[in-house]
Amino acid sequence: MVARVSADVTACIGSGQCVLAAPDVFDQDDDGTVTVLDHEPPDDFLASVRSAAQRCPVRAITVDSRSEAPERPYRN
Amino acid sequence: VSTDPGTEYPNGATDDLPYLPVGVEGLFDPPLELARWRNETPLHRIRMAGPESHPGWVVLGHRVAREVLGDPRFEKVFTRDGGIVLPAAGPQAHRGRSGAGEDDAARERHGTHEGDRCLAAAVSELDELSRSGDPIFWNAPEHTRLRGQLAKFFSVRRIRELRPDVNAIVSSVAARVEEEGDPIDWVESVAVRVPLQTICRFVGLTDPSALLANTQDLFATETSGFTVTAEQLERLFVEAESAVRRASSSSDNLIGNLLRESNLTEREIVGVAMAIAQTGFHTTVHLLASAFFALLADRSRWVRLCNEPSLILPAIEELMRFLTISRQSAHVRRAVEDVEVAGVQIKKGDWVHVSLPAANRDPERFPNPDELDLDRDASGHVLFGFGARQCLGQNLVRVELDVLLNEMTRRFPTLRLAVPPDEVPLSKGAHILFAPRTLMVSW
Repeated sequence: MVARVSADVTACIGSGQCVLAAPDVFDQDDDGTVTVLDHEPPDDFLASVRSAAQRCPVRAITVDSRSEAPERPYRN
Repeated sequence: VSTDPGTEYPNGATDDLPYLPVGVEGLFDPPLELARWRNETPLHRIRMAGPESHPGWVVLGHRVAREVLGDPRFEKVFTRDGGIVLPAAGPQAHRGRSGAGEDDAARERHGTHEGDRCLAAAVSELDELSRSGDPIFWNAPEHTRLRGQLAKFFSVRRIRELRPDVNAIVSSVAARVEEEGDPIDWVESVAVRVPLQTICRFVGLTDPSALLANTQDLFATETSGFTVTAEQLERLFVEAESAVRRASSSSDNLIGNLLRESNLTEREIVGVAMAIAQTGFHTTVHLLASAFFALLADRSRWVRLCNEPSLILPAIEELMRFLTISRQSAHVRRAVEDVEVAGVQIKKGDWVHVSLPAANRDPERFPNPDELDLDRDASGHVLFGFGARQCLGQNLVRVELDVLLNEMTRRFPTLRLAVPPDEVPLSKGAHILFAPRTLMVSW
């Protein structure tokens, strides 16, 4: 199972909460906008990535946990 | 921007609705009614304060608080003169240790955030085209445009670059405290000095007295937790204007950055500098003072931080959650259309106050919420609000607290209150913006 991390740069307000929560996975560019450093972070980072998604004030971060083959059903 | 930000209210009468309960329970706690209400419902009907008091809602649950603050269908409400609307007031407003006299009640009913009202007036005088140079008074899309230009100067990396300066400020403040000796008022000598010097450095102001002439001015009034006199505002304006004039393209501060990297006019930059300096200073003083009060009220907490510095970062979040110094200011919203929230129908035009202290003490999100638990992961608290208006300066505050607690636990491991905790006087506006007025300590 791989967690796919994405961020909506148009929603981002640059609060940096994701960087505080998961500095190995998120950074801010020169405008303060989120950049995802690792779209498929190792499982060890999952808790902090979920914390980042939870802390984001504009809910710009999505963590999609699903099986690698897209035709298989989503796992909850 | 709404052309009329006034207080018209279309939906219903107040009848027998209660005012928002306010006051301080025990040493630090928000009113007990908030928890009682929250046990029944995440949204409770209240009678809003204001010149034409009318029905409204208070949001009590953590999840719903985030939902409302993050939903653009709720816009921020301002008074006609540009002030921030406070939800509470009225006969029930004054209880507990921060109780105030009847004389202040009428003034507070208008719910105007005095400092911000003055700021708005000064800035809009300056720029007749703009309703106000202070982004606090804007809604989308103007708010979004300006916020976007400011955000990059508050990124985690940019704020971390300021850390050596904060280190130097804290270190000199600590040295001065050692020199002055104990007992000493920690509010005046630490909680005020550190944010005052830090925000001046960050913004690019050189005269700290432009922000504060007398510490007790911060805590003397009830209206907003602090009041800025017209004179003080004029000094700040003059200082900000001259700071913008003397800034060069190499100036390593917010004013220099804005001149270089934004398309704001110089007039707008003066307004932004004033707004950031004011809001970044007053709120931080209250948080720092309250944090030391909470850590020292039960000294075992201070001792733990002295022995386990790695606890300082999570402890900062927990102190922010537990204290939630922003007890009612600035979080009144108005529904711009009919919205259903947590199964409740909010009508277009309804006013909704989000109670940050109630949300941060929601047991669904923070088990055993009335406990200050230094081992708790309190991230996700809403002290800084939520949504597109979440506090711009939150990362700066975190750095200040981090540096300060590391330095002071190292230098003053024997720090203790010089008076019993229940004799520590609170700010007159502590039910709005919580803080001790003085904090006498020894070591």
